[in-house]
Amino acid sequence: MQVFNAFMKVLRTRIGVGMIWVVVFLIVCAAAVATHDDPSEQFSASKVKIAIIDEDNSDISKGITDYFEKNHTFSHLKNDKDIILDALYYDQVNYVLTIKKGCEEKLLAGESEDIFSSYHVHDTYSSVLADNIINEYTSTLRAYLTGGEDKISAIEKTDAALSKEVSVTALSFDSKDKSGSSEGYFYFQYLPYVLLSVMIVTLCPVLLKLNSSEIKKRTACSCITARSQTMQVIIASAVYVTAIWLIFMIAGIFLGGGMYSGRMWYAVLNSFIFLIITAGIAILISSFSPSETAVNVIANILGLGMSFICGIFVPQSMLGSGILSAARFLPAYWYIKVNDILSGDSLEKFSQARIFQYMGIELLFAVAIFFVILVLSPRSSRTG
Amino acid sequence: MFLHNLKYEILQSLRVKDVLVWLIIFPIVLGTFFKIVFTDLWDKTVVFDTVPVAVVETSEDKIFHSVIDEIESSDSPLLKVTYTDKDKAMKLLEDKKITGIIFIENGEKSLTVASESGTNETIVKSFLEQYMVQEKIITDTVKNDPAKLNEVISVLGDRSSYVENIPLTEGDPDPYTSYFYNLIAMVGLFGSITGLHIVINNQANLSPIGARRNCSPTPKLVSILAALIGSFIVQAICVIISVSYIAFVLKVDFGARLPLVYVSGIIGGITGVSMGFFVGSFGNMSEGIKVGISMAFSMISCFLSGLMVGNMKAILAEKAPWVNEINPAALISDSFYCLDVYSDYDRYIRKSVTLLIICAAFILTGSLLTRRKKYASV
Repeated sequence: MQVFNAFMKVLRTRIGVGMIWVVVFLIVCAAAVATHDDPSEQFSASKVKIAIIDEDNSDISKGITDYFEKNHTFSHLKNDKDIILDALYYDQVNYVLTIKKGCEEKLLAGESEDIFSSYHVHDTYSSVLADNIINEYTSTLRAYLTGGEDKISAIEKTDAALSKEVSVTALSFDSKDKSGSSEGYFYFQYLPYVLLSVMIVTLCPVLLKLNSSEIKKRTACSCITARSQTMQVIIASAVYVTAIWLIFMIAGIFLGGGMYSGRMWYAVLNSFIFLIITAGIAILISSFSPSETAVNVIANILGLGMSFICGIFVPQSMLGSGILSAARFLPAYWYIKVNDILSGDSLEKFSQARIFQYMGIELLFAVAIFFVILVLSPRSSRTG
Repeated sequence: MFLHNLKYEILQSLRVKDVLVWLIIFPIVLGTFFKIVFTDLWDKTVVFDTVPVAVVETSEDKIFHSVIDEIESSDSPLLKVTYTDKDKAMKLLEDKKITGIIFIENGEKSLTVASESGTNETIVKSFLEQYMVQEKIITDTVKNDPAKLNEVISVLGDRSSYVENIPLTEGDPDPYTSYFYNLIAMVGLFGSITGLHIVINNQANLSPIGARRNCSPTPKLVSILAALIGSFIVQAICVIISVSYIAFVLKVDFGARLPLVYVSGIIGGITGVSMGFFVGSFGNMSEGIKVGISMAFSMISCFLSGLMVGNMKAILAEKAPWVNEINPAALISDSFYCLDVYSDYDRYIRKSVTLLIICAAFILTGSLLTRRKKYASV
């Protein structure tokens, strides 16, 4: 138990730095969860944030403005390029429509050239949607005008036709055992990034100190075998790492909206398996004895890199097939796959066998990493 | 004396190889990842896939059929339709083989989707709504003035866009470019590690070099100034390498004013170094804790600027706009954005001046904290 005790002794002097990181990542998690949009609202997200500059001031331009005011998020803006730019940049509006002077006259005369112009920063889903809505409105209005309606009734009918929504039923197939809020799963989606970074920045410094030549030489001349030393380090790390994991699990109860229940426990188990992997990665990094400062940068590269490629920051469904096939070789990919199935974001249906299969793959990563650590350990003890 | 100190400061920074190497590797690796991920992402969000749906009819709707047939036979069809009965359709939906079920009962159409919904569901919904609008226009016309039906149909068939998009900006900002801006901001702020070493190398109780410096007759002002300028230079080199890699190898478009992009990046690096200098001067904590604090601060700063959650800055602009005005990472990435988007320099200058004020404040406070430190014994 000597190595184990030494670990705990070093840990006591380093726990301050470790806790800074735990707090930082809790803040990051809390902020990410707090600003997360509920995906179930996405379906009603066919609303655009639009501002209209009305140069025409006619019945038709008022009709258009009224329509957007009623059905979309509407804001008034001054016709000043700087104000428009700022509003677009800070996402107060996605789209600014200018109804040009003479719009009504042209439409009544059956023309459709040069009636609207728009500003938007880049082609996003919402700007394309806004384009579509305006085209749809104009084409409906034109159709009614062509059909012989007068101006006022054409506007009214257009409004009525476009405001009619198709009735949508959203079914939930697995409601009986699905539990956990979307915030809860979102918290777990962010967790691999946080766990990986926290493990590297909190565990590596302790291990590096333990690997420092004085302590290492002292242990090397004892009768403890190299393998036993490594095992003791692994067990001590396990205790430390589990304690940190528990902090995050308890925080998860508060941030994710309530005590875990039902399927949420799979997410908890999944994060525990991932924890083993991250601890392994941290031990592996420290066996190459980088400087303490370099550890911080390495943690960022691994944490951010894996997060972008494996679908933590950007949903897997949005990633291209090329990246996804590369991501298969990283454990976080399988973690996110499990989390997506649990939260219902995946194209795969929930099945226990599938979940355990993916968790099994994660465990294989863990085994592989620890195997490498054990292979490396005798070599490093000789060179000490 | 100053130049002598400066020379050794730079030499010494270059000898802390592992940190330097990681500082350079960091933007190269992450930048490459960003490039791969976002290039693909762009294709995915703009090019829509065909959406599979099922249609369940209790009464046959010939017009709807012919519209669907026409859609399916196009080159890149919007929908892929399976006609089936209710039970089979439900099974397909449950197995996530289809996005939704369109029910047609006595001419009325309704849509059933699975619980969590997204883009594909919206596509089906808006298709149905568009169909219903056109259906209504046609039936209205048939009622009022059937003679005009052909004219009306040709107006409806006119799929040209009525809106002329006016480009707002000088450059063409890709929505994902802000990730690269934030990445450079992070490289700049990581300069805090270099800044931290200035103080550590000047404190006799923290490093042997600090002890050597404290017993030399060089005034502190000279040695610290030399150290600061040396670190600025080293950090500037790191930033220049990152910006060059991102601009020339990854070919990320920074707009037409690339030299000023370098200037902004370097200002970012100087901010990072000054911040590290300030944190290092503060209190008697160990090196580990100080590194932890400055790295943690850089990370939170970049998080708030949108490195991990892309729309973070917009959320803050709505809820706490002052954060964006003082957050170093946000200021750095905003100044890149201003260069790309605005033709005038007002905002760019405001952002840069704010950053320089922050630097000055850090350096001034740092210097006040480090002065007059005397060691009776180490």
